Amino acid sequence: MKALIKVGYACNEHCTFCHTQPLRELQGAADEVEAKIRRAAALGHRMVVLSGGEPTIRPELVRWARLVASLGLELGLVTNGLVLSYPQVLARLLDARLRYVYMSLHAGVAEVHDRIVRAESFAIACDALDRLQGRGLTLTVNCVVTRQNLAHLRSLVDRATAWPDAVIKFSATEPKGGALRSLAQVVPRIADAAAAVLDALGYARTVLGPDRARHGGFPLCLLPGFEHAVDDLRTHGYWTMVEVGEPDLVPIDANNQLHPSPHCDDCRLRGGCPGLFREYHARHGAAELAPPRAGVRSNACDWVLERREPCAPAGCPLLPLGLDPWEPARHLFVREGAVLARYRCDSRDLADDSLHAIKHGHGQLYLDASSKPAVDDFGEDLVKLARASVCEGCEHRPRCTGLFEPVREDVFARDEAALRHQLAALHGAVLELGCGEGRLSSAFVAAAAAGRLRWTGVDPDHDALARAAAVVPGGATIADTAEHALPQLPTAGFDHVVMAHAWNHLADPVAVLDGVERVLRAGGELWLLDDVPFGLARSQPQHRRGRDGGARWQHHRNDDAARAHARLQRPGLQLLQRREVAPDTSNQWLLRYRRSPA
Amino acid sequence: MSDTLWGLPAPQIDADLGEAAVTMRLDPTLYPLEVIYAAAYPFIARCWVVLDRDDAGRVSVVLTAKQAATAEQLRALVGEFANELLSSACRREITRQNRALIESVTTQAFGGAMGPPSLEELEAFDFTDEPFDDPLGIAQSWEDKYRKKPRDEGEGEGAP
Ligand SMILES: C[S@@+](CC[C@H](N)C(=O)[O-])C[C@H]1O[C@@H](n2cnc3c(N)ncnc32)[C@H](O)[C@@H]1O
Ligand code: SF4
Repeated sequence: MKALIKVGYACNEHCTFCHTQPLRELQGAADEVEAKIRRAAALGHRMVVLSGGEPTIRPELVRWARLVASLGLELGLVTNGLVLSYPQVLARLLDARLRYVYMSLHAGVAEVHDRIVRAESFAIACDALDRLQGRGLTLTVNCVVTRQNLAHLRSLVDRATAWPDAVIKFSATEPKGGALRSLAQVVPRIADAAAAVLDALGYARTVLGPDRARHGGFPLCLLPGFEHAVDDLRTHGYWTMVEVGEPDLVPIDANNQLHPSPHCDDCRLRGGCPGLFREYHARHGAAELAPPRAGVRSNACDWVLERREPCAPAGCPLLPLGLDPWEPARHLFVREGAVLARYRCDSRDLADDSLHAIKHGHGQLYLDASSKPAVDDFGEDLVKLARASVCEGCEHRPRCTGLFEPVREDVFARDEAALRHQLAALHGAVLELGCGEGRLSSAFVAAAAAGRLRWTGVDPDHDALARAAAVVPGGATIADTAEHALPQLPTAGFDHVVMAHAWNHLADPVAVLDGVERVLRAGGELWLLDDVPFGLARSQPQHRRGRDGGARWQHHRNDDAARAHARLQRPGLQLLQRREVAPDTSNQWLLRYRRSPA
Repeated sequence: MSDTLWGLPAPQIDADLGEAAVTMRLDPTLYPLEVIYAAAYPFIARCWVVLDRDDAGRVSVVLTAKQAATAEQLRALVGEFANELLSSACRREITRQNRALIESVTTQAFGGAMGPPSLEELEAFDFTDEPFDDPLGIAQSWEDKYRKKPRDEGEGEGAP
């Protein structure tokens, strides 16, 4: 993983949009930079990437490069690349394990590029790019899309035909620093910028071939067909970064961006989507976004084992490591006895705030104790993880990634027993939508046998339904989807409708609810049960097995009880019970409603 | 008219002595074009230089002295040109070898990427604080290079 170290903000260019423009006077002291390089090595990074300002104008450049190499790390540069046109400098940096160059070039024609960087740089930058070919570098040419180069993106693609090692990246301008100061002149409307980028990406696909052009900072809904071509700090494998004057390396984050709510709430692309810059959203709102993308998405992520080391069995094992570098949501420390295991989640299937909710909000992290590609018996396969007691009352808790420990209680069995107990008390006509093979239906057996309950099971899977029918003797079954079955059923024909694990699976649950309301008699009850997303702490082999296991996503949304209830605001249903998911429960929530008379 | 008196092997360099000019014909398999260009370049201050190709495929170089020249001076020009040819051929060869060296250094560096550096590599690291040369001023800060210097206080006629 990479650490991004800013060495100072002085520069040999003066880009109109530069986010560090107000800091140009500030240079980091050499010993501060060197201490940070050593800290990056100690934390286990594999590469140190120097940025700024312009890192290559520092006289210490070669010395820093050698320090990086001597620590066994690789070197990267975020740079305007001008200094790399000196063959001797480039040779010395390559000698010091330069492996990664992220270089700015804002158009394929000199007039446009030079006007943006306010220097006569274009020819030198192109010369540097020529020299960077064939060196085995991971090379990105970053083009920040402003009002000045919006119409010239194809020129960069044309130019890039000479640089087969480079991936071209089009970046949205963040309204910050110079770009914020000259907002009206510099920052284009996001829809205009995305349209130009979409055109350039398509052009690049024909001119340069597949996967040679990417994008960063653009809402994915505005770049249809290029949803997988996202390029950002995470896709580049950055873990930490540090500004001049900051005491320690801190995790990269995307706190300057947001997914406007409610527009993006249900979008399938949300996990990997940058959304909009907050500053942009504050000024222009979300009206330019395309409709959110419907469809299935993931409801689980892996936190994968990175490291295990001995630790004291009591007290806090994190404080000695320093609290700053660990991601609040994506890192996970688990203490088992005298061993501290560190896991990390790199998935983009879920957005950062969703991962945060899994870990710190709903508290739904589990150790995978199985050898299956996909867990299917939660009680048997999973061991719950909960915040360690040593974290209680700790003054650092709000900013700390936290220590977790296994909980020995089987929360799934406990919560399910409580639910079955409630269901077993039902009587009258019960309709179970999506009953599967009758796992929950077995709660009705005693009442059915005593003649107090008539059960109707609905599920599109014939075989599963046959097994369910065998569980509840005397019941009726309909082998169909809820959408198709409901119209066949009598109005006000049921005292209870139970929908378990269906809400988040249905493409249009609200339409299903119309049917449910119709078949419920006045005073009858609707029981809605479903899961929130969860996380699995897994070893590398477990993670690989899961990834290669080919499990299909089945969730159309990932509502918790609160979100589902918000969608269920209808005059015909009154809330009776709401059981939220919490760090001490399993991942299943319950909403229970009474059908009002009219 | 070819003249072996020049003391140069005719099949490789063949020179004609004219009134104020010498013409040399060079075998391009021996002297690649870039070597001939490089050799001719230092003469442009003293001579008009014309390159051409004759029917036999040889490259002809005509050096016409800008100021009147004796036969002796023209003869010296041919000798100098022959030396210049040799030195430019040598420079070319050295550059070629250096490129191989740079590539081998790069390859070594790539080898290092596979794991931590070896003890030898560590020893080879040079931590002396030697800033790199910046002959073109590329590494100068933008402010130093482009910002208009503020006018000196008190300058100008109207100053009190
Ligand atoms: C601050 S620069 C430092 C490195 C170097 N001086 C350069 O120009 O590439 C880091 C990267 O951020 C990009 N950048 C700067 N300001 C930006 C902004 N307001 N929005 C988006 N990208 C920006 C630059 O183009 C560059 O790729
Ligand atoms: S709707 Fe929101 S989350 Fe979906 S792609 Fe657009 S900006 Fe991203």
